[in-house]
Amino acid sequence: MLDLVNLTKRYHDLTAVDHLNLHLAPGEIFGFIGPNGAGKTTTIKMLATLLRPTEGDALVDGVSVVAKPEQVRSLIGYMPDNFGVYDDVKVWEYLDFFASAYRIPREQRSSLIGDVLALTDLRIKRDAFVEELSRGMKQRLCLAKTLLHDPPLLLLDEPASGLDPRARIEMRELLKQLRRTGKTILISSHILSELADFCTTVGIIEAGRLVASGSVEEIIQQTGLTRTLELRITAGLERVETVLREVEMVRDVVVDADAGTCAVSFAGELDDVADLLKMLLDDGVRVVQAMESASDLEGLFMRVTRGQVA
Amino acid sequence: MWAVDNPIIVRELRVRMRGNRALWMQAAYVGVLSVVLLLGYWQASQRPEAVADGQLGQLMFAWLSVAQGLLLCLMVPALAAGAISAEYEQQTLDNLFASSMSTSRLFWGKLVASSLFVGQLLTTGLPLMALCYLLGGVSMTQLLGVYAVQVSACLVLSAIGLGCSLHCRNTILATTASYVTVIGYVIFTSAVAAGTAALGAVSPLVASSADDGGIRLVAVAVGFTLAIAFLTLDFSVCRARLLRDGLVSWRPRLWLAAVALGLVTWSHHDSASDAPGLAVLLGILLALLLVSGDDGTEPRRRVLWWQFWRHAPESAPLFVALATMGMLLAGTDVVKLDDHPLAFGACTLAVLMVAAVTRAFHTAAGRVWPARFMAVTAVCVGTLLISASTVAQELMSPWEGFNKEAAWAFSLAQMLLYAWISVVMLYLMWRRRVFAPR
Ligand SMILES: Nc1ncnc2c1ncn2[C@@H]1O[C@H](COP(=O)(O)OP(=O)(O)OP(=O)(O)O)[C@@H](O)[C@H]1O
Ligand SMILES: [Mg+2]
Repeated sequence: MLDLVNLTKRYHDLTAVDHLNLHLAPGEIFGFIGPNGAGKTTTIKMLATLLRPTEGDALVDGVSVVAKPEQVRSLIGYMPDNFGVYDDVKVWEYLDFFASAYRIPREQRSSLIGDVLALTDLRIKRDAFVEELSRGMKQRLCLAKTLLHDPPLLLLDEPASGLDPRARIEMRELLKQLRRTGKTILISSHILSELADFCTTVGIIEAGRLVASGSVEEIIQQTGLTRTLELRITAGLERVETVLREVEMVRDVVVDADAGTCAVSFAGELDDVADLLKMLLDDGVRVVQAMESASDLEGLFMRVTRGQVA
Repeated sequence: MWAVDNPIIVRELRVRMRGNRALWMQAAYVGVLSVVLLLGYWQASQRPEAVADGQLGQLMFAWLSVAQGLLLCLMVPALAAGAISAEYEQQTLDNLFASSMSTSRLFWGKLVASSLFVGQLLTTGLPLMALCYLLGGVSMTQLLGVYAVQVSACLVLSAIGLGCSLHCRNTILATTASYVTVIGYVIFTSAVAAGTAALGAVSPLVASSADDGGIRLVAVAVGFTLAIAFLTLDFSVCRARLLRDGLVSWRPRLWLAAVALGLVTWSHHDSASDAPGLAVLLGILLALLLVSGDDGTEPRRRVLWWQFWRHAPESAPLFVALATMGMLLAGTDVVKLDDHPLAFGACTLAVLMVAAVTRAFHTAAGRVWPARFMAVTAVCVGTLLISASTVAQELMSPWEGFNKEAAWAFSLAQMLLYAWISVVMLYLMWRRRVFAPR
């Protein structure tokens, strides 16, 4: 669906994007992660035909963004990171504007606008002026706009930035819903944990180069990092350490007796967690909760982007 | 239709009349023109012999057309210079450029959108111009000529503003740049007009000299001006293409356009027919009427149907124009209305055009309903009756200098126009919503 071939962008002597190679299969949800200034926006803008690559090319469904930008534009739905909306129109008029820009026939527009408004949960705001919307609603409106012409590829540049936790969750639910429609989605963020649970693959970019890519599992394997499992235990806490120390994968066990919790670092796959838990339960340790710590993904991100993994 | 299908134009139609800014601009425009008209009247009335010669209308007309030209040079660049740069500043440009809208469609939309309001201002000035016509000494050719040149000059000014807006990513800079360019353009065209008799009307400021050469001169001047307008626009489109699509194609187009421009200028002595004047006027009107429509998305206010002014605050400039006209007529007894059925008809036509244009904008803003249609129809039917009766009267007992053919043509045009308005009205009543998707 999307192929980047040595995609490069230079601004004078600064290389913002450096020979990026990537392949996305149809239906894939790709999380594009990197710190500020890593080159995410620059890459996405090149894919959206707003910037011309200095070198290399990108193919959307086999169509080159360099040679045939007009054709690419109807294949993508692009949501910019710092987007503006026309404040002086009503919500439906805003969508009608873009429907008309994408040459959707007039008689189809009304039902189409109804559909995307329903999907983004903005139906009650149909006749409100855009300036009356909250930031989260504007963000969803912008997302609704990208869906109007039913593009097979969505390019979303930090769709959840500046949202409160609740709106963030709503946005995530919305994206999960989109995943079900079978679209290929490229979504950028600074926060790995935000994307980890619904992206099929992630890529970590730093200083214009892709430092790691693949599923979260694969990256953890590739980088030889450990994951941290947080256990909540109601009985048998004193036995945990002795049991787990015997397992080869386990690197460290920290028991917090007061809180009744225990943090286990281990270098294995997610599937191995089940074995660990079975061992503990067999030993009479009552584990009531087990979760992978989110801060761990942050740690992974920090270590990858600090250049520890090359 | 082209206008309805271009999102940028539709947005302009919807948005322009929301809020009071446009209303104040329009009122200020008519106000300034009215003051100029009064000044012209005062100056002419110092010389009673001029009034006796029938030069009153001519003098006032000259004042008005120069004032209108100046106002346009001041307002149009400011209106157009924000077209691209403001979108850049508000960060809406990326969404627009990433959409599959073609660059030429985008720029054409921007050009028309920034000219539409100017067109409305021009029609707001029409009743005042028509007044000069009523007072005598001004020919229909001259009136139409000035308007044709000024309308095409507006396109040039808009295109200049648009080009600057594309080049400067900052509206203040773009506005400054377009004023500088416009000053250059006015000096250039005025020099051309002074130097070449055949292009006497090419400058928006001296457009009123069109009467010396008649339709032919107007046609040449308009052709020349339009060619410059499209040359300027095409240049911007090519530059934007280069930025957006990576195409380098402007050089051959530029040369082609330059050659075309040269040909237009060269072949000015080709004869032009006198007929198309009214046809053009009608065409513009029809286009404006077609883009109007009924959209009942906002709750109707509790206003009685005959309370025009409460229905449509933006038709206030129309009333200002009418009032000025009335005052002037009350102070002059140079002519009696009955003596000039044609001139009277022209006045009503002008007033009607203002109504039609304001209506188009008003409807697009999403708050109009049949009551105002009824009001417009009442005006149409009333003026039709009056002009029909005056024409009939003159046919029975013709006075000297009465132009029978023109009277017939005019009445016919008026009738066609009203018939058209009725058709559009019925259609809109039937469909209820033109802009709102069903
Ligand atoms: N127009 C420009 N001219 C010069 N340098 C630029 C330009 N746009 C971006 N850059 C540089 O390119 C690099 C990548 O920027 P980019 O906006 O792609 O980062 P990003 O990953 O989107 O960051 P963020 O997370 O802050 O959005 C930065 O170093 C930035 O300074
Ligand atoms: Mg960014």
